[in-house]
Amino acid sequence: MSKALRLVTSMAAIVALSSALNAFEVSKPVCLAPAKPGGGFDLSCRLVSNSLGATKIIEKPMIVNFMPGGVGAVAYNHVIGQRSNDAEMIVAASTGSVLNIAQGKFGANYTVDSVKWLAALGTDYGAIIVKADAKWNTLAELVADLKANPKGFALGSGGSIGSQDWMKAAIIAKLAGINPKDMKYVAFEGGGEALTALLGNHIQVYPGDIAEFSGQLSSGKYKVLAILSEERLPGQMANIPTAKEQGFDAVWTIWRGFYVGPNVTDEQYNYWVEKIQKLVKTPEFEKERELRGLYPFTVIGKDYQKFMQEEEKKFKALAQEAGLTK
Amino acid sequence: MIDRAFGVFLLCVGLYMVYGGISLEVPFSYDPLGPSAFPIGIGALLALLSLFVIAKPGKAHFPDLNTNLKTVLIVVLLFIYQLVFDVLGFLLATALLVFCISRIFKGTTSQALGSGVGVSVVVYGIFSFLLEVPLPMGVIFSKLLGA
Amino acid sequence: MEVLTSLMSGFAVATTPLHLFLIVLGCLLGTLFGALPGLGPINGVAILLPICYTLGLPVESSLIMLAGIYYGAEFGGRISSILLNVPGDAGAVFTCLDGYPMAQKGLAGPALALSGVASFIGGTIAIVGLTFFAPMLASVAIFFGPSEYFVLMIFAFATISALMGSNPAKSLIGVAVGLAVGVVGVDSTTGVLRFTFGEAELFDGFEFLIVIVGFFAVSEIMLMLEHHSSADFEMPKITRVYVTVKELLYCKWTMVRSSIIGFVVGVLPGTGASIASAVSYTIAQKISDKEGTFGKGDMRGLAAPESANNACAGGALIPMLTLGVPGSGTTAVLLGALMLYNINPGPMLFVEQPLLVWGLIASMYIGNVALLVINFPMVRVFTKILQVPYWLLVPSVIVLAFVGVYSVNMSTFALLLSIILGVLGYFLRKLHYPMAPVILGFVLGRIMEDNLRRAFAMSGGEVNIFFQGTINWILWGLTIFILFVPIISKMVAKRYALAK
Repeated sequence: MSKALRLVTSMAAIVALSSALNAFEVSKPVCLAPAKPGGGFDLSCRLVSNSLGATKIIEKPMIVNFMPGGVGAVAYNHVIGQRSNDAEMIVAASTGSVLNIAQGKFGANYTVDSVKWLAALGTDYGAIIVKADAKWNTLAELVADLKANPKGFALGSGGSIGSQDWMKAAIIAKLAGINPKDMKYVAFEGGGEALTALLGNHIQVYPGDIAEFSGQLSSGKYKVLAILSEERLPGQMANIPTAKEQGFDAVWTIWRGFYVGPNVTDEQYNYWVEKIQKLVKTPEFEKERELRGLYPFTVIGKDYQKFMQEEEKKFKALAQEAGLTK
Repeated sequence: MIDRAFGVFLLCVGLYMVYGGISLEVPFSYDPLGPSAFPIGIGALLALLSLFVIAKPGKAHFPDLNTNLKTVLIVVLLFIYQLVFDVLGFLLATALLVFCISRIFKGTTSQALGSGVGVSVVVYGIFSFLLEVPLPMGVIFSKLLGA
Repeated sequence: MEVLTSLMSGFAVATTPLHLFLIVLGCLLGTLFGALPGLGPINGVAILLPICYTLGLPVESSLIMLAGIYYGAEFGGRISSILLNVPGDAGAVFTCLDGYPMAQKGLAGPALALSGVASFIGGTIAIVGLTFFAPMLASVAIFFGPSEYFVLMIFAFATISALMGSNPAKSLIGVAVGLAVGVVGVDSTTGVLRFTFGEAELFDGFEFLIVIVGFFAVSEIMLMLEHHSSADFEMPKITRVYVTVKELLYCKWTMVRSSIIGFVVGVLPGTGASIASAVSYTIAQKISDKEGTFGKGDMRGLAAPESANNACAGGALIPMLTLGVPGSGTTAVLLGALMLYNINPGPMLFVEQPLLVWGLIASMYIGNVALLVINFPMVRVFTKILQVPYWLLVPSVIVLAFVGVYSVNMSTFALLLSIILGVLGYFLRKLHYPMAPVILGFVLGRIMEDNLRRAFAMSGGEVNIFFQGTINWILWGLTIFILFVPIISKMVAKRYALAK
């Protein structure tokens, strides 16, 4: 063995040793938002990057990158296929992501276990919204009307059959005891279009998300019949009843979470878990979360992975029941 | 002749769309048309109209063999470019592409070299640093910087 | 006048030194984004939004600058359309039809100057409309439900008959090809995937940008090779770099009409600059093209789409500011900007954030004038592009176009798609299939299908939903009118001749 080669190998050994001794630390943390800037996933990423920046829990500033496409399908495929061991990057996801995974829309062979789930950090809740001059004043009246006359009025929201938005309409249908196939449902391109259609009386019920809708609350043009949360929400939502207290077992959370690539090592995964556990206890994080209109919903690490498996199972059953998958 | 061949191509595309439309698996739909109607309709329209072209093709003027080969070469170059984009990285892949296309458009070797280096560096600088659009460094460059 | 007081308060916001600087910067960047093929207003705003946010600019400053990029891009899109026959963005596809032939005749200078004025007029008419009629127009836009949108698309398709040209079969095939490209992707009603071949990146269908870069930039380069190789190849000469008052007056009614069309199309959510410029071009051709000069460098054919796409940008802000819903793809990103700053946009925006809204509107008056002032002296510079030798110009165009396509979702698959579409476009163009119907089919098809099926879902499959309500009847009336315009005008001309 030549001297030079020996030198090189011993140096390599030293480098390997020292990196093993030094615990993992990110150098260029990235949050990947699988949507266009300004979309819901961007807001999730800003929640983490802003509060991490304010608390200095991770010294290096976290930048936000964008990869829109298929409500996250492109990013999911990209992470699994090309950046499976990139420990610098966390990726935003939400209820809709798992719904799509459960229906095989992120790739026929992919399940929630194709990636490592890190944490859910907040949630929005479903809400049943109608025009201010609608004939219904409670969820019970709406449900009774739907039961009596399934095709009497149209529900509409911003997603196709099987999407997160459609599920909320399907829940109302199930409350009325009718098959979701038998209601009148109109799918729009995003919640904004659906809201406009509600205002123009082209549809009569818009099952939306309450935090997203909050900018419209004070306009007096709409009524919120029920919020699909376990308990009443604070602040300006305090006088809107939940579906539960009106006697309907309907809860719909739109949680916001994050995952990392499947080949990220346990050490690196634990690094992120630890940082996020520290983060959620800070007032800075709480302030950021409230600014984004999100409600508390914190599940971290292995618990989150388990939660995701349950979600997947639940949604698979739901999709099957609705006749979406075999 | 080429007009007719292209007509046949369009006919096949149309027929394929009809087939694809019919074979869509639709759990259920809230409207009577469903997702298959449009592909079937469009495919049928395309197939039908292409029959007119096949029956009565027009005259097409394609350039001489030399130019045609160069045109094919450009397409091949672009195709290779997107293949090696992630591996070689933006700088290297772009410099090579620009050099080749520059040569095809009658640039001298030094002009092509200048364009290759100039265009790739300037565009990389603008997008990576000013606009913060992450362009791939490529395996080679990131190894160099990582070591 | 309450509106004027509000507008004045807006000007107070917009005329601070920082904001004046941001307006000019936004307009310059916008012109640049628009001019570069492969980068349009959506990417421009999407790329700059995170930067504005990270720099810590306050919300009104960010919005003023991002809006500047938006209408600046509509202004700048014309440049590469006219000079290179490669549309700079979605709204500038129809600018190629008469702009490029003008440049080939040596009239690149007048074409750029004229289209600059047309853009200015379109932009200004839209801002005035935005200032005075925003709430009223928003309440009309609400009445547009699925059935109205469907009939509107029928109307738009009826205007295509103006583009039929010498070979109707090939024009119709063009429409079908456009429709076929538009079908790819997830079906927005049932969520069924159509022709995606298991590729996640095809779920959302073809991005408009990929289609433009493929059909126009990639195929144009292949065609350029041919012109370049032919023996009698010559660089086009530049005669003058200004436009005469007589030429402007010649186009005045086209500009006013197209501005109004563009503005109205912009107000309707779900439409955009490409539809606005397409419809205004085809209507201009229907009404004015008596000598068959459209498509061969007619100034009115250049003025129409340019007035319309700039007017559309102003119109699209109305649903955003008054209803909190996007009026176009770019305003969707602008809305996202507000959300990022924790402002939840809704109908109360005018009441709760008056300085933000009126500051934005006032900034657009300033921005439009700034664009005109910036653009006039630049015409000379722009025309210099024509003198750039092909060995530098061609690779630069393709690289910039590809970076734009890549930046959409950081994927080389998008590049592959645009190359495939480029080869398809090359054959279509070589074999004399007109490209305008292809683009129209692509743009209109999806909206038409979605709304037809939404309307059917609402009516339970009944057809009479398309014949209910005043708006539907007006749209049907317009459709019949536009189909028979050539016949009517011929009859009128005959009678006129007889009377003489």
